[in-house]
Amino acid sequence: MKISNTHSLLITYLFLLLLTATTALLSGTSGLKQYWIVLGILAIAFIKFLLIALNYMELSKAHVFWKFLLFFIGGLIIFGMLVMYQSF
Amino acid sequence: MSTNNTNYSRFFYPPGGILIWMIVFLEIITFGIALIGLMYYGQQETEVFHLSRLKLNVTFGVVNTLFLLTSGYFMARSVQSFREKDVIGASRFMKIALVGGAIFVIIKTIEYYAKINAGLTLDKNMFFTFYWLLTGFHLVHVLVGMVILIIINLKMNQKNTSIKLDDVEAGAAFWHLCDLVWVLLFPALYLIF
Repeated sequence: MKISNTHSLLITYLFLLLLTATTALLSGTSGLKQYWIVLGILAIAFIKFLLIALNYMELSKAHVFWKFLLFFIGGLIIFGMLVMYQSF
Repeated sequence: MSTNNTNYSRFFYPPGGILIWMIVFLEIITFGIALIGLMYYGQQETEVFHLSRLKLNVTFGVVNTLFLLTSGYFMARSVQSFREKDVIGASRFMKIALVGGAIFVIIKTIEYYAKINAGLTLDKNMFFTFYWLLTGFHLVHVLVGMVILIIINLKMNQKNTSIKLDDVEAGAAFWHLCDLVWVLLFPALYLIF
C-alpha cells in the first residue's frame, strides 16, 4: 500500500510530537545514569533533525550527496556534543 | 504561477535550489559549532550550568517546540498544495504556519522578559551568554523567515502572479531551518545540564 504525501507528512508530524514528549519524559528520568539520559536525548534530537530535513524539506528526493551531507554534518554535531559532554 | 515538475535527484536542484541549501548547511554548521562550545564550557563549569539550566522554564521550551513543529507541518502542506496548483490552499496553510511562528515569538518574548526581570542577562554567566546568543540568533531567523513567508504569501495572492514553485520551496526551506536548529538547541539548553 502506497502512503500518500499528505499522510506521510501527518505521520512525520505525529512522530515528531511523540519524540518531543519522549525527550521531555526522558529528561525527568532519575533511574538511569546521566550519560545514558544525555545520549538518549541527543539521539532523539538527531532523529527529529533527520525527519524534518528528509520529509518536511523533502531532501529525501534530492541527490544522494545532499542526503550524505545531512547525515554527516548532523551526526558530526551530535557526536561532537557527546564527546565534549563526557570529556571531563 | 509555475509549478513545473523539477527532477530533484539532480545534483544542482535539491528542493528549493542549491543556494538555499548552501545557506541551510552553513547555518547548521554555525549553530553546531556553538552547541559543541556550549557542551565544552558546560563540562568546565558543571555546577554553574546545572543551576542556570534549572532557572529556564522547560514548559516554555516544550510548548515552543510544539508550535514550531506544527508550523513546519503546515508549511510542508503549503508547498504540497502549491505543487498541486491549489494556490488558495497553499496560502491558507502558509498563514497557519505564520501564526505558529508568531506564537513562538510571543512565548519567547515572555520568556525573555521574565529572564531580564530576574537579572539573568547575557553577562550573568557563561550559560546565559550561550542562552541569549543561541536563542537570540535563532529568534532573528524566525523573524526573517516570517518576513519571507509574508512576502511570498502576498505575491501568491496576487492575480497573474509570477511566483514559482522554487520560490515557495526556498521560503519553506528557510522556515524549516528554524525547526532544524531548534530541535538541537532545545535539548542542549533546556534539558541536558
